[in-house]
Amino acid sequence: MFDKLFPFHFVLDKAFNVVQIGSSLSKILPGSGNFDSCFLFKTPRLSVKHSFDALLSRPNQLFIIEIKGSELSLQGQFICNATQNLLFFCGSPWLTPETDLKKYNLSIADFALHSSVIENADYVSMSIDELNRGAELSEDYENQRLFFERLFDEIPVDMSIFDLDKRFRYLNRRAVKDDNLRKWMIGKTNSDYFILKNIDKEIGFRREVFMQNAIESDSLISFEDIHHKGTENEVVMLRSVSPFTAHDGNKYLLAYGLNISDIKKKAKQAEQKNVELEKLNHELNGVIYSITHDFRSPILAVKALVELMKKTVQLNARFVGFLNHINTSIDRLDDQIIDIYHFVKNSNSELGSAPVNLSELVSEIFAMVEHSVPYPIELKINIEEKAILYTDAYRIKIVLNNLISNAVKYSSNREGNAFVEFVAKVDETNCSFFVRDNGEGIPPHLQDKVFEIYFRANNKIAGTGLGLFICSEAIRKLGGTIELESIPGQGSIFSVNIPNR
Amino acid sequence: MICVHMKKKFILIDDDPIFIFLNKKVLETTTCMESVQDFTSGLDALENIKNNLDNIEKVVILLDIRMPIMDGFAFIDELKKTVGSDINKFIIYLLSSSIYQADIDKAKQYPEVRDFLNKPLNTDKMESVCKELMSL
Repeated sequence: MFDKLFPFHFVLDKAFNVVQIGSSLSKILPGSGNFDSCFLFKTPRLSVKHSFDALLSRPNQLFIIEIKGSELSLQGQFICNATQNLLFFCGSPWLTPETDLKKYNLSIADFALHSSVIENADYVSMSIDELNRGAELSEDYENQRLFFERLFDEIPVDMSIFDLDKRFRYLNRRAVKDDNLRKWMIGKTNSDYFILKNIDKEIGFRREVFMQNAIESDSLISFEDIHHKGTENEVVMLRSVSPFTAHDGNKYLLAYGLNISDIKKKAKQAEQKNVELEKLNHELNGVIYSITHDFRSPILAVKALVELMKKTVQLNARFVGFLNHINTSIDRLDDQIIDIYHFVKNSNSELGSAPVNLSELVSEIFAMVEHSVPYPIELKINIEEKAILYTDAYRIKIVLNNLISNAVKYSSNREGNAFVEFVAKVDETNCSFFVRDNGEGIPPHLQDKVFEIYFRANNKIAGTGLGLFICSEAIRKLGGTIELESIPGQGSIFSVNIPNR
Repeated sequence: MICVHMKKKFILIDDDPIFIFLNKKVLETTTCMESVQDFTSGLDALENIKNNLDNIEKVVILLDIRMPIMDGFAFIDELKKTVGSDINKFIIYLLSSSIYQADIDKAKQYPEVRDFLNKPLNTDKMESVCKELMSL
């Protein structure tokens, strides 16, 4: 049995004579005799002075021994059989070239299964060629192992593997840099580590709770560790623990940690900025409220006072003329303020969705503006509703208000038939309508510009230059389009298309 | 023909004395005003109402929304606390020059508010209010 384990063994007696040779060694070394006639110590060099006792005192020494008369060496150790005063050399060929093995007619069967020459039981039946290929393969494996070991150490992520008792089984270098500490940690728990390092134990306990959750739920669990919380050196680690089953069927927990401090810091800054912006936005809305209310209040007071003067005092025509001019100017200022309010509100407020009754809304707006012209004007309205229109109530009102009041303002009574036409078609997905007037129209070269801010195509009629701009902005917010067709002398058609949602 | 007992007592509350002046003028031209009292702050108005609550049978309040210290909505809240179940003695119209939809929406949440009127008041607007008041 011993020979099966160590087919290259030999036995020395107290007088340093070789008294026994293993079956495979005998193929290389034909006879026996004194140790020195057969062997030479390569490592350590005991050639100068050696004895049975010298070897006995080195029970843990690895020896490399050259077989004299051959190119072969053996690697192994001496084991003492004290009762018989014998030393057993247990070893096998060391760094043996293929040609030498062939020379001594050594085949795979001449090696013990544990021999480094044989990496795998599958190779037992292989020829020497195959064996050598196996050696190359084992070198590949070793290279691969080193590659992956390095990879795992250098990957910019803390990696560790725990057993189901939540004890470390593996850590990469990123997780713990110190080699000795890393070795120490194998078999220890998170808590052990935190106690050793004398850092916030809570983080360690917390981790173990998350790990337990991952085990129990058999799913990936992520959480954040915060070190040096609230200080400038705050470090936030995003950790994930996930159960995994190794190739051998054993279950482990795979854990990794990613330093997300920078991301967190940026997110925090963005959040702060957002809060500031929201505050500013809120304040701006307050300012706009103030402008629309506080500015309008005295304007309306002036308007009312002018009205009162006209009613209660007998005035000559010149004075009435002045008062009308005051009124016109005040109206323009008021229109500006209202337009600015709508402009800001349209860009700020969220998009709503509510049922809108077009017929009612158009009639209501028309009733409010029809008296702004000194002649009778007709509203022709034709609405085909296959579905109820859902849209943002505020914005559709702005749009219709602008288009209808413009149509009234720019209408013409040249043939005594001033009119505004509103035609709409509503279905489940879409709403298209147009507003037509019979006014003087817009010259072709100006048609592209009417939706631009502060553009005014007409000097005769008061306007803010904001109305159609706000109108097109509101339509844009509604996800729709607006188009203008206009023939000078005949009138204009504004066509709008918005989604029904 | 309008019966005298159908005419109403009015209280005007507005921090702007010009609007007090203007609204009084408008009320004077209408057919439904029996008397008018005015206050430039909600607190003064509350004080007066508290002291005369027993003498008040029905009164119409024309209330400005935006006022310093106590705005129109705060006034209504305080009035409710002060007069309790007597709140139905008060017919409240909110007045505002605001096109701020939030104010209008908020006004709708107050059942005590009968209507929301845009400033400036004029005779036409006030006459239609009168018609409404007569039918009460």
